Amino acid sequence: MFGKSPSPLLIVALSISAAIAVWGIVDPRGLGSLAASAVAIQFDSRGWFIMLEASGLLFVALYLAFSRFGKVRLGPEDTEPEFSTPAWIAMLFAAGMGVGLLFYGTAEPLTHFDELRKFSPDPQAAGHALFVTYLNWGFHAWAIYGMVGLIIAYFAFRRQRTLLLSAPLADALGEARWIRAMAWLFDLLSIIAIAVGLAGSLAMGVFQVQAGLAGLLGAEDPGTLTLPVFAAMCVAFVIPLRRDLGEGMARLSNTAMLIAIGLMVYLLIMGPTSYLMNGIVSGFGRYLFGVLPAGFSTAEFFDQEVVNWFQGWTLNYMIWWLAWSPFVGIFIARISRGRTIREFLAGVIIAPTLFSILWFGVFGGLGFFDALRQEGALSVVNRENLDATTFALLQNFPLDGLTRAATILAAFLFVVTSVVSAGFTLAVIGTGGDENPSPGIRTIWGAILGALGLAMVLVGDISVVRSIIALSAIAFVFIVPVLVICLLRSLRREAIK
Amino acid sequence: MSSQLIDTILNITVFVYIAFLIWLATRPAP
Repeated sequence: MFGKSPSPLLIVALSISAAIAVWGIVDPRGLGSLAASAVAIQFDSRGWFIMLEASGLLFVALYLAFSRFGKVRLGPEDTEPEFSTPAWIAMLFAAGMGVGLLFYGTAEPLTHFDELRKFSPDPQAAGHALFVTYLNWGFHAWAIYGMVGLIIAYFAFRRQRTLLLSAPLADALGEARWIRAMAWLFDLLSIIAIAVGLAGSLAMGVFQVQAGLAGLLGAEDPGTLTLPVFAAMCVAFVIPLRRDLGEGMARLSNTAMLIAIGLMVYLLIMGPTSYLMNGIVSGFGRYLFGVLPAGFSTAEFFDQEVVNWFQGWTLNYMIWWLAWSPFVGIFIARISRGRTIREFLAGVIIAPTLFSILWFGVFGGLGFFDALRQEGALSVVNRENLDATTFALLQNFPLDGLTRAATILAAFLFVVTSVVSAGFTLAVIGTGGDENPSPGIRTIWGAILGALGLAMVLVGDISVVRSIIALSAIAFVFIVPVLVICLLRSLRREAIK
Repeated sequence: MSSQLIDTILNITVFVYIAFLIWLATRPAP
């Protein structure tokens, strides 16, 4: 079933992931409350370090892009990029897309708006709410993904190592026993972060699809749809994971992306276009000139309510991006062979951030329009059930049956293609970098992702799901800086030669 | 253990970690 005898890494990783899944299924509340309290302690004590690191990664990315290292190619000097620049940018957009944008497009800016209007007049609160959303989804997020992706790509293609997170350690620091032990631990922790992070994504997809379906079918209690939706998603990802359907998966992912972009354009045109464009342009300007200092903010002098809001969103997002960084990093590394470091960082950090600015500008702007110019019905829905906000928004526009069905389909496809891709990545890492892991091992990872997803669904509360993801990724706060040092050491050594 | 003590310990581990990073960055090449 494993193809060859399983490595200790694989056995330990499978055992820990399965144990978390069983715990979550047997006692979802216990797992949830432990995660929430452990994460709260970490955020209270180490929040400053997490923000410092997120900003530090952005500054290191800027330094690398503008320094002489920017010319270093990710591969031998004569390597040509595998994909044309427009195709590559489109794939980076796809990496940045996902069920999170569908889920939070309106919900997040409106939630921030609700919180901030307690402290400032509505127009300022709306502007700041959009700014905070941009901060959470913008340059810092993509600097985290970009730096991890760059490290993976540099060591895999330039230094001819594997795509694993352990590769930089051996190359830059040597093969001493303690370094090998640390490298092993890095691979193990990256597997757990990917598995738990993607299970969280799966749960988020289930919540989103069930809320949409409940609206379309007129079901009174969306909870009755949870298990059928979850089962449908599991069937949909296990089949392609067993058979090798790489091309088909890419097509489905592109379909989801086109639906999402179509939805955004439709809402921009059918909605109050100039109102939305005004919001996007002023929000972009405010973000561009305020992003660097805001990246260091820690909500230090505010009362506990504001601190909780800051920790629950901005700090949680930074950990969230770290949780997904090995998964997204491996994906963007694989499509970027042959690019220079400058091209890589410019593409990875700028293109998806611009997309997020447009997306939240449109979806958030429509939420503000409803709150400030209409009756504010969306804010009421948002306060009661975050999962239903996107669908409530679509109901305000013509052809809402079609757009809601399309959103459900896109959410479904985003989740299924992500889980298939994650199952594959986990199998690659678990087998020590085997680029073609056996169908058996891929299926086992699919089953574990399904079980972890079920645990998250049973937890039932998206904020607790976010805490579980954060807990699984706390270690990455300490792994990523070590990897950055490996990269800088290897680059310097290469320059001296 | 009081929350103040936990906070202090967690922060000291971060300071130790930062020292480890500096050592890692400056040690001679293998």
